[in-house]
Amino acid sequence: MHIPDNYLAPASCAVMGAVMVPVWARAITKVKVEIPKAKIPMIGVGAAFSFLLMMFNVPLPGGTTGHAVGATLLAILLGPYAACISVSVALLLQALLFGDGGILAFGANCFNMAFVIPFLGYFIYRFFKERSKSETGEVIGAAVGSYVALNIAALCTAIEFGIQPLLFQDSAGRALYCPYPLSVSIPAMTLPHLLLAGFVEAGFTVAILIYIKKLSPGSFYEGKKQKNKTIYGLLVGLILLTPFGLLATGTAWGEWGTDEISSIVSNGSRLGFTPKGMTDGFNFEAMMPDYAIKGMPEIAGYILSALAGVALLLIIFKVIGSVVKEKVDQ
Amino acid sequence: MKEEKNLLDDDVFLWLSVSEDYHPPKDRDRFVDKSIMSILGIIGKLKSKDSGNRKERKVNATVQVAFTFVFLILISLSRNIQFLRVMGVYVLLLISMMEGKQILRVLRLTAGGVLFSAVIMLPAFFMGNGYSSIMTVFKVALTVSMVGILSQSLDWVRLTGTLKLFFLPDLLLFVIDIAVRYIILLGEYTLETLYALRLRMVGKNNKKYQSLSGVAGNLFLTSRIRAEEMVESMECRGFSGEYHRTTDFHVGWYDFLFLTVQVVLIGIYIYFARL
Repeated sequence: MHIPDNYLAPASCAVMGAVMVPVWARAITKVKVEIPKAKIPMIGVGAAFSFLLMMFNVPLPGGTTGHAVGATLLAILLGPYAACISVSVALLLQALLFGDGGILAFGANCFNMAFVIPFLGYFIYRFFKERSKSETGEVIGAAVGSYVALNIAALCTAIEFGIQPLLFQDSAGRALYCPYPLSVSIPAMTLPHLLLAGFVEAGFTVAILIYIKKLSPGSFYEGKKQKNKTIYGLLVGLILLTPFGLLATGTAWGEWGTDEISSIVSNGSRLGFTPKGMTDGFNFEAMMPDYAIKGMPEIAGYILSALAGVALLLIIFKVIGSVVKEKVDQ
Repeated sequence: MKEEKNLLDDDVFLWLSVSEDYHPPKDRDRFVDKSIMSILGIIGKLKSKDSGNRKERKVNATVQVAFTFVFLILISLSRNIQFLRVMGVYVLLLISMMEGKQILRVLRLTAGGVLFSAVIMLPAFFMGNGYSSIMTVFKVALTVSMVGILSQSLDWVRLTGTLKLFFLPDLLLFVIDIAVRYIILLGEYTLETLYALRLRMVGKNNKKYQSLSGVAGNLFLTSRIRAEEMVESMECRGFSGEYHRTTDFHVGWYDFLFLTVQVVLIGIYIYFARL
């Protein structure tokens, strides 16, 4: 679901970025009021969770891959506004350090994964939770919320891809950016997510939610038993498991490099050309492209990338937590 | 009796009935403020090292110092940016395990080093030596932050203990030990003097630098008296000038984990050096 650079026209990117600015502003003011200073590092832990979950690629029918996002989980644990910030920061790191998702397309990626998923997932979860008082109702709400939200986000991504050939063409009528119209992009994005990735997201959400509620509810909920060891243990476990994400070898739909795209087959026909906007477009050199270190085994590179990402996110939010002033009324 | 009443009316209470209208001429007592701030800063830094949580599980200080030294050499020897990337991940991990305030201190230190070396390397970068100048800046960032991490994670007792193990002469250890403690003690004394000075300065003071010499002279005298007293009291307690290290070399699973990581990192260095 990470849209690379040059798949969306710069104009579309600007629109999506402009949409996200007020969302971020509102999220930051909300978080400042709602989250106590001591819990700010937890937003970083949340971002680290999301970062790791996005590294677990599952093979999807049609030779592509998909991944969970975990944004609904974060929205349930930290509230949708904090989840929005968590996922946005995780996406920013992925774009800057690992070249996963574009710099120009950052706004669009945030809209899909850091805005649509946490808010929609959270409201569905609340809908279920308020109607049933039992624990089961809450779990069902989390599962349905995360499943539906991920699929709606995939649909949004598909629409963003699909309107590109309608809006931006060169003089020969060929697409400048993403070459696939809505009739191709919507089924290609949504079907695999409906069939598989959505369930992976729901599975992760429910499993981690139950784990945290049972072992360390105080990490996220005020006044409950807190065991940071279990939270960090979970992070370490996820880091060690990330190489499973390498089992899925294909490239996710809509994330091909410029060298791949002309040979992609869809609806039985090869695309046969590389859109102009991609060859002449903006190119950003990431610090550790594709989560790999040259000369090292893929698995080692992947684990190191996971470690680096988690460490950076923890550092960022620990520093913010120590700089932010304690609220007076607390 | 009558005389007394007159006196009250005329002399004592007269000034009370007049509304006060004294506007002291503006004066900048920057020098006192600046001295106070810098002394406070130094005391704060030194004290923050001493208040380390002793119960926290920490890696053996000697091992930590020794390996930091080894990695400083390996980083500067390395010609492979991939090894530096691995070390970068390691340094990030170490930093992420610290507390927010300590992280800020390390980052500030690193930022200074990076900025300085980046400016120095700028001409080389533009003359086409891109790769090696980026490598240099990267190396500076890594080494400075490694030293920063070390200095943040060691308190004074553990630091002197480690230095003893590296065969530093006792005299030097003694000087370091006393210096650290006395910077704090004398710093607090100076602070009190400066506060007193500021309280007594009303209006414009044209003789600021004279008071500076007063503060300094007083400080010198006090330090001499205190030093004499300390030597006497330490002799009374039987201190002969030798430092003895009580060995408590217990090794926990934490140390094993640390050692494993270090060995793996050295292995990675050799692996990349042979490529």
